[in-house]
Amino acid sequence: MEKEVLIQIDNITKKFGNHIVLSGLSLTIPKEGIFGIMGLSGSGKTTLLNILIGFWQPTSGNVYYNFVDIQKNQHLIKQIFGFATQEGSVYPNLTVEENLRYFGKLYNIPTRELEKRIYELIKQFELLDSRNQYAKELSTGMYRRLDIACSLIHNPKVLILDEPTGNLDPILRKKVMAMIRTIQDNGTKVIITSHLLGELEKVCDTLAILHKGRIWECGSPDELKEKYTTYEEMRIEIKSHKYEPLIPILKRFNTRNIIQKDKELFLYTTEPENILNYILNYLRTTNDQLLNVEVNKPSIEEVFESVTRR
Amino acid sequence: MKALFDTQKKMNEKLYERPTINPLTKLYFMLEKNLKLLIRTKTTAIIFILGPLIITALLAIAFNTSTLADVNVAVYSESYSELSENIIGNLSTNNYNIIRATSEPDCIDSARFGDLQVCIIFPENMQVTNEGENIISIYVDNSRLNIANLIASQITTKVSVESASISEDMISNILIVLDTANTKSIQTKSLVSELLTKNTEITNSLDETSESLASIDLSHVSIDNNTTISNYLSTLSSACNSSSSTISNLKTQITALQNNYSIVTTKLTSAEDSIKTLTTDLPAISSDISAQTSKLNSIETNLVTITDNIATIQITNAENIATPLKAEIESSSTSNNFLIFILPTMLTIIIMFLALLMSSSGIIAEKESKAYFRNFITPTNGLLFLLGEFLSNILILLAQIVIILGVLYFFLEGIISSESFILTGIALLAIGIIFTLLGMLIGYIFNTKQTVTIAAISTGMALLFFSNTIIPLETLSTKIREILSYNPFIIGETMLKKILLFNSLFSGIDQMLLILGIASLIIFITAIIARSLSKRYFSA
Repeated sequence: MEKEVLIQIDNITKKFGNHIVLSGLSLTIPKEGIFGIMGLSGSGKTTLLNILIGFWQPTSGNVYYNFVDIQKNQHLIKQIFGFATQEGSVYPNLTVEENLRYFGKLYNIPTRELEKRIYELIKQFELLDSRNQYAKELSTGMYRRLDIACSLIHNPKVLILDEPTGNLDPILRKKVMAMIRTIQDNGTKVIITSHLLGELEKVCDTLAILHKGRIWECGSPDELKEKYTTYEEMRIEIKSHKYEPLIPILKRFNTRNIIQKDKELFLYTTEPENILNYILNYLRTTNDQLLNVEVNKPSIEEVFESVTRR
Repeated sequence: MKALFDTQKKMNEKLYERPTINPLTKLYFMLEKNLKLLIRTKTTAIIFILGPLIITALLAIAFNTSTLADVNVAVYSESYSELSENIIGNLSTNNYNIIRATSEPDCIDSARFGDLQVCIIFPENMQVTNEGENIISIYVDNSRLNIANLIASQITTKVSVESASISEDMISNILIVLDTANTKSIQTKSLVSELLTKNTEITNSLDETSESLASIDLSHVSIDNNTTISNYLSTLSSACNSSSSTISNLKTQITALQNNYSIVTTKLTSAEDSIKTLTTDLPAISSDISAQTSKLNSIETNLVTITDNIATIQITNAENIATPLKAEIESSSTSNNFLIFILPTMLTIIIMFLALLMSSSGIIAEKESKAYFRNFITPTNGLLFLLGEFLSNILILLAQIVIILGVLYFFLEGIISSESFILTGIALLAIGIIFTLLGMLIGYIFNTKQTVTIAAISTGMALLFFSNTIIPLETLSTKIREILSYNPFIIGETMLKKILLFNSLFSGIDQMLLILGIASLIIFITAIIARSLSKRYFSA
């Protein structure tokens, strides 16, 4: 079934002086699900997002939101899109409420509606107790939540998050990701970039790989993994935990990245069944026991690496 | 695929657009936000609010005087005379601290190196005589442009006063001598007149005498004393022997008579000779007297000329002769208070730097703020942000102007009229507006706090250097002066001078306000362009 298109990016190029950041980039962002953009540092992720929200004009090409040209409808687009930057974009010397109120007014929200919206957001983002605290006094997680709240103050149809979990500890990251999922569930389209590919894989319904100024791949995480999977991850644990004699023999198979981590042996291989048979024979000869064996599909990191190696 | 696109297109033809709220409401929130940010940055708030108060109060306290205080004057002479001591005494009674240098080079160096403000070298044993000139050398450090001429002028004036006093004394003496000469001349003239009259009388007498002498007849018949009378006596004796005693007596008598006759004739002859001599000499005497008369006439004429000339001297007042023309430097302003003099320049400097630094630092703080980006992506016109920044700065500036005027009112109440205070406020606001916009422009052009601060200070310094404050503009070429006449610092300073020193009305400054207004508009438009270009800041 064809997915409904929300944003159509049509062959855009963006240059800063002589430096080409995006080169003939085309991308279709579907209406449903969280959309993730992966890319190395300097691959043009932020520039692409800035073009989406109308901050930058592409040097050539067009961007459509629901078939409306973004470049020609700046005022409208600014009301439809919400954007949270990597570093956050709030005034440190304003309180949580003051920041939300100020940006709410810039988004033309009438006072009564705005106050209601502020309350909803500070409740949703668990900032109720900190509503009168200056932004600079907030913890990193609260600061990030405030930034996202400010991006949502005008109830945008699309929320763009640029590295929303950067500088956050794993617990906070998890919390933010859950929050992003909630935002999406509440009807706001979320477009997200992150260098933490594992997280993207978990939260995104569609992923695009941006590399050298253009999109190389786009699809669901499973589709991408299916497309790029040749090696599977094997996790082996034997009773003696003596892997040294085994490793040189395993290298004769089509394997790579054979690493012992704690009591387990990790490896990537295209022939897990052959390896498993060999290990079972080996254990019999050495009077050892197999405690555990797992065979997994590779992570999205591997897919990403495969694409960016090209 | 195309069919799907068409369906979606129809569905989304009418995208929801939130109606735009009143821009003034947005502006209000921007102002509120900017002021909160300023106040919450405590050090900035203290600097911007207390700064003008402290500076103005210090200026007012320091310069609220009309005299030059503690001007140290070095003096030196190889040998001090009464005259040089008088001049030094005169200076010391006029708020100058006199320090006697030990040598001429020491004296000059003290003025050159700024230890003392002036060095005065008096000639050795200075006296007013016919020989030589009394040149008093005054050394000032001309590099101290703002005070060198003032001190030199004051010292020269003091010396000139002493010089004029000496001249007056000398002229008074000359006038007394001249007056005495005049009186004596008048007296002599009457004596000469008398002499002339007498001479005329003498001449007349001589003429008469000459005539009288000429009329005296001293002719007589001579008698042959020896032969004829003797013969007659012999004859008579012969004839009258009997009476020889008689004859003898007669003879005696005749002899006596002969003797007397002889004496008479001698005297007559002598008289005749004398008359002859007189008649010969009298014309010469008369001629001499005529010559003397002529000379006396000449003396009389000269005396008349002298007295007439003296009479033509209309000015007989020694002071007026000594200094027939007096130049007095009068202030063209109505006040002689130093605070008023420095106020236009100082106020312009304060407002210029405050506005430049405050607005430029405000813009760069906003640019460096993480929130700046979000402003760009909201559906708010960029012009509104610029207006918000501008009005925030102007509000703070207004507060500063009120503080400054309040301090000045405390010190200058009664000296400056309330109308002038209002006009000063208007002028300061106009100055503040243009420098605020200039500062904003700098803030939008440069990308770091350091460069913005350096650019703002450099701009202020450049405007200050190319004004009359440090170096007179008259030292520059006419063309450059023409260009510099549009220097907003100069315009602002001139406006304040007109108001504070010359009590100018609004009509006196309206043209300058118009120029500042046009310049402000141009800078405002440039700032709009610079702000839109400042988006490039994020491309880094």
